[in-house]
Amino acid sequence: MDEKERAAKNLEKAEHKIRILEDMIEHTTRNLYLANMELEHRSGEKLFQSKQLLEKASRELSDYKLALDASAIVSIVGVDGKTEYVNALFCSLSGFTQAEILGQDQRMVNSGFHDKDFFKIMFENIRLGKRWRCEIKNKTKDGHFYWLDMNIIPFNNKYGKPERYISISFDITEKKQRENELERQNRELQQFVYIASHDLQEPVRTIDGFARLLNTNYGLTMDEVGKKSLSFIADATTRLSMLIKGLLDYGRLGRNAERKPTDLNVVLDHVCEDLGALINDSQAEIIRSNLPEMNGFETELHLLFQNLITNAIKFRKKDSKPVIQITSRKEVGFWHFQVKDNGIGIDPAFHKKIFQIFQKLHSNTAYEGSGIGLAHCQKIVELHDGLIWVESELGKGSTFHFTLSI
Amino acid sequence: MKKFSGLDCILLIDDDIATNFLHTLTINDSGLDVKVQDVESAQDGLDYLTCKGKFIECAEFPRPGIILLDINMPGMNGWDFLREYEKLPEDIRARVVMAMLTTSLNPDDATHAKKIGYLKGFISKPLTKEVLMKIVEENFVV
Repeated sequence: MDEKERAAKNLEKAEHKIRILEDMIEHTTRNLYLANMELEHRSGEKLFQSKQLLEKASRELSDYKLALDASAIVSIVGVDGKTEYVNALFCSLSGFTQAEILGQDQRMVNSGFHDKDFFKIMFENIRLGKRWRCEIKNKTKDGHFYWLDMNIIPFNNKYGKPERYISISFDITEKKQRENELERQNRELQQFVYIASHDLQEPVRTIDGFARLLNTNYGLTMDEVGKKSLSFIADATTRLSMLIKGLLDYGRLGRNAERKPTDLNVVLDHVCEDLGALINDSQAEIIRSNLPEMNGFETELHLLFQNLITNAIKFRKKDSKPVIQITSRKEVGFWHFQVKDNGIGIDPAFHKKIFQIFQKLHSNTAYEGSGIGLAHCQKIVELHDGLIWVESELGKGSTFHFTLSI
Repeated sequence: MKKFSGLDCILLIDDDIATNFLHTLTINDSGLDVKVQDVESAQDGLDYLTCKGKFIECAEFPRPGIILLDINMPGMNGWDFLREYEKLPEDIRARVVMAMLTTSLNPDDATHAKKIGYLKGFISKPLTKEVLMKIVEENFVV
């Protein structure tokens, strides 16, 4: 029995051990399986997330490209000057097909309008990696001209040297045409005003001359109606002459003049000298604060202050001395001036109208004038990229505000 | 002198005294038996119609049968006057013939005038006897 029994016991033990080992293996296998599952799950999720991000970014990029291609003219040029890419808008505007332009120099759209320096400066800048923006006139395949508002953005390689230039442009041909038309019309208008006012002065002088002649030679023998008629003719011709001169001056403002450093204190000194008699007669008090020196049209600025001060004295209250206060304040990009008076004031209903040419608020009997002074002021202020407005109430004085760019 | 019924006075509203003088002469020369009243601003015109302001004691003055109104006047212009005029009581506006007198070359003014139904004329200055008599005969009887 011994041998047999021992062997059987050992076998049993061994089988038991094996079972334990088998259990352990199964357990470990299950754990491994679970761990693997977990691992797979996790990395799958990560992968999925990165994939999603990538898709999102690529969708965004393609949206951007779509939007850009729909609205702008895009081309890419290598440092060698060869065209690497043009979009559909480039082709439809220039008339060239992709096949015709890719690999070619962009000189094929050169209109010949710009001089050598125009391109020299452009290339100097973009070669240094600087963005460049300009308005450029190009030529289509069939010889028509078009204007672009062009942005060139250089992109560098890993060594920091420009590798390619992307240009994004907008068609501004219509805007340019309107600008040119406007310039031409402005020139014509100025010319017209100048010639018209010159030619108008002639007949006015004739009427004036003959009215004087009639008065001298026949004045004594005329009845009341005759005399009064002659005096109306004389008054009307004087006024007409004044209006024509005002119109002529209006057309001339800012012509052939350049902005230069101008000390407004000196300008105001001269204005006060010129208006000496008026200031004395009306006993006007002019309170001045220190005014700036600025870049401006000197003659025009003189006229601006002269008109505003003359108005402040002219439209004074009957029973009080005119007091005129002139101040200035520096703001961002411009000077803000105020000319404040204690005069008769202006009904707010007319605050806009007074700046229109030949617009008056009073009859000639009440206040002599051509209705051109404030129109001049407005034009002068606009020459200095400024605004003019009034703050006033009837009977409570007026403050004229204006701004002049620095 | 010819007297038209309902036409006792012609009111001239024009800031230019020379024009008022000339038009007064023209009306006086036309042989109409009528008083001519001239005022130099739209406000004075309204005051005359309503007996206010400087015309406060003028209630016994004859009421105008015709108003000749200038467009370009300082401050309140002819169009502004018409806007105020339309607000006046019916009895003041009744039997008034309104015509505009103008030197305006602005076609907008003529277009604007056509839109105002009660305007009986849009006349270029200066007023002539012929134009005056045409307005009178079309709107009044002897």
